[in-house]
Amino acid sequence: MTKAGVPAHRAISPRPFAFHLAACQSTWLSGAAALPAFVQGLAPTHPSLAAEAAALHQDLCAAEGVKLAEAVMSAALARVGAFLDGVKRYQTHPAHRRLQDAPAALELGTSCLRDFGGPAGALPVLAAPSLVNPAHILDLERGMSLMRYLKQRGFHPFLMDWGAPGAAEADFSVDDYIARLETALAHVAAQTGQPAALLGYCMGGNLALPVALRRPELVRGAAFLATPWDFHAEGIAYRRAAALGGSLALLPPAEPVPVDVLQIFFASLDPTLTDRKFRRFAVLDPDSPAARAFVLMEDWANGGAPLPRRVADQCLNQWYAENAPGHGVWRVAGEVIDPRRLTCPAFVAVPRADRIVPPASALALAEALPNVRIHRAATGHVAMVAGGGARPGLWQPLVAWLFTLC
Amino acid sequence: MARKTAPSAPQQPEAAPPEATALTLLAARYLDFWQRNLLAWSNDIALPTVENSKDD
Repeated sequence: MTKAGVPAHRAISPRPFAFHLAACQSTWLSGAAALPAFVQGLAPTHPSLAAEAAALHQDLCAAEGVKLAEAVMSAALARVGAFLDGVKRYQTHPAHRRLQDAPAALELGTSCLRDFGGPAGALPVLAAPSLVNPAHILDLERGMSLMRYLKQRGFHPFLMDWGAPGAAEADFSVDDYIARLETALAHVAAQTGQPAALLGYCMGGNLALPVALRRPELVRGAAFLATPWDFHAEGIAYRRAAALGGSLALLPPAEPVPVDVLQIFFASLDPTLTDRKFRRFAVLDPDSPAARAFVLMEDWANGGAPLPRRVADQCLNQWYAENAPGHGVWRVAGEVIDPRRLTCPAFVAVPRADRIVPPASALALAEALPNVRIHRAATGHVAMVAGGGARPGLWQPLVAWLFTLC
Repeated sequence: MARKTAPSAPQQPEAAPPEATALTLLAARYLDFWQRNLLAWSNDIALPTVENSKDD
């Protein structure tokens, strides 16, 4: 953090910046360069865009060539400039997360269990986020905090904050983090005197499921928010992740996988998205709530810690490339993780517009769970938990389900 | 880094003669198409694995 609370990594965000800048420049400059070929019908246009390409081709042919080429090049350069302007406005924006983290009730290496408090006898809810980005996506800002909303509604929320791996975690596997979550769950149950609701967001759900299976006496119910299960169900995410998993061999062995390498996975899902996002941000009123929310979300999305090498290898290769969970062969501490064995009530939230976890991947988990309520959210992966529509889109349906456990 | 920046008004398109405006709109339409075209191809093409790259 800098003095004013702005995260230091903002100065090198969006990450990896070289990737995003290259994607932006190559998009627009290749567009300008390809114009003559397009006009001559020689540029490769995707079959799904054939009708649009034909109409555009007709209009371009009717324009005066030299003036058109100048206009396209000028517009291309303006777009690169607008992207850079958006990045500069983001990097220099005064907004930052102001919430104080909830106090740690338990420290486990560099991880800790954050306790938000709650009324005596309240149902404890233990939330496990992904290992990749910071835990505070579930406690981002006033009005954007699922944890604090749960407390307002009478529950006793706890948040597993995985922290950055230190020396003790450098050789951690996924199984080690699952064991850590199990320890935290036992602590929550002992502290509150009752079993808890387990809640996993994204791959946090993959960490929560084995815990719920191993310790059924400590779990009242389990919620899985945008949790992938059939990694090959649809979309391109598994292909991108598998390609990145193969490239791990190029990194120094036994060293954590840097954040910038992990960010390539998210960037590769739509290499054009960052350009569009930052050009839109460039023309937003910087004092608007939308601009502030954008900054907080970007700070979170570009944050995080390096991932222990074995964890990265398991996630990218065992999960994404081999689809061990979807094929029913994923083992934790020697036991196959079979969601059909989860007998407690379950809640599965599936964002309809999720690029990171395709809906079919998350629905595969719901289909395997015997006692499940499925909630389809009309939003994306991150917006579902912390966006402007999160309250009606997820929080309220989730709370309605949690009340059924009380 | 965290200095409050003065809010500035969104950039407005410059006034231009009708012909130039039409050309500007056409250029923008082409570039928008081009970005979608790149993304469509990107979604269609599986990246080679490291092993495959070595074979190339």
